[in-house]
Amino acid sequence: METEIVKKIVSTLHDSPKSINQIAEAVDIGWKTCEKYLESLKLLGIVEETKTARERIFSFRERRRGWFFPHARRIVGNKVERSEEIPPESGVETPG
Amino acid sequence: MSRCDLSIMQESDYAQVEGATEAPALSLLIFRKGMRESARTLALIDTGLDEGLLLSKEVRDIIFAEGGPPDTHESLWAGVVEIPCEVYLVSVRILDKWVRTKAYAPIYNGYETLIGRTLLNTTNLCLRGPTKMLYIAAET
Repeated sequence: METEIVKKIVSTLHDSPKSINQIAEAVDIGWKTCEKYLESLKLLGIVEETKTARERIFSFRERRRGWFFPHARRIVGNKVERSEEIPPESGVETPG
Repeated sequence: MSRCDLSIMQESDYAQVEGATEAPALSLLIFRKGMRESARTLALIDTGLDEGLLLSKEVRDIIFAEGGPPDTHESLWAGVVEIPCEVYLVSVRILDKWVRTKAYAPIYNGYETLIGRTLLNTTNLCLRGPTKMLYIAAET
């Protein structure tokens, strides 16, 4: 798979679910090529398919546990130190 | 809202971040069963992180060496980018309380320790960007 095509497909599906025709047109590739990419992305769990009576609709698969700050940014001079302080046997809270 | 009725319990400067503007950071103690001592580190505040904690390689190595292999493996997702992680069940001390959370250690190097919303939502934080100060407060 070509990375640029994958990026374009995922980008266009991020906006809204689309049919294969719409995706192929947005990415500027042929219908058959587009279908092959979508089938692969579906297998990888990146997109999901909904079949209607007239067409197949693909959408970006929403995921849990995401975040917006993937870049590797390090704090200047942050060194891990050790502390004798440890949690008490009881009294450790569990966030709701 | 015209006034704040919180009492400041702890304050800290924003941290200098490599290649980026200063960012709010908290000093944390992280402890996992089997460790002799806690690990103290600064953690960048990341309100975009759904989970409680992301571990730097340095912290992960201490936890692994003293607490043993990860409890499980899960992936975090940043858009379409999958970040496979080891998951450790840890206790984290914020201010004066210990909170249990899952800590994600990416299998790739280069990440700083990040504190996400699951833990941030247990505290009252005040960010004063113009003065680059972070305050943790308690309700009076």
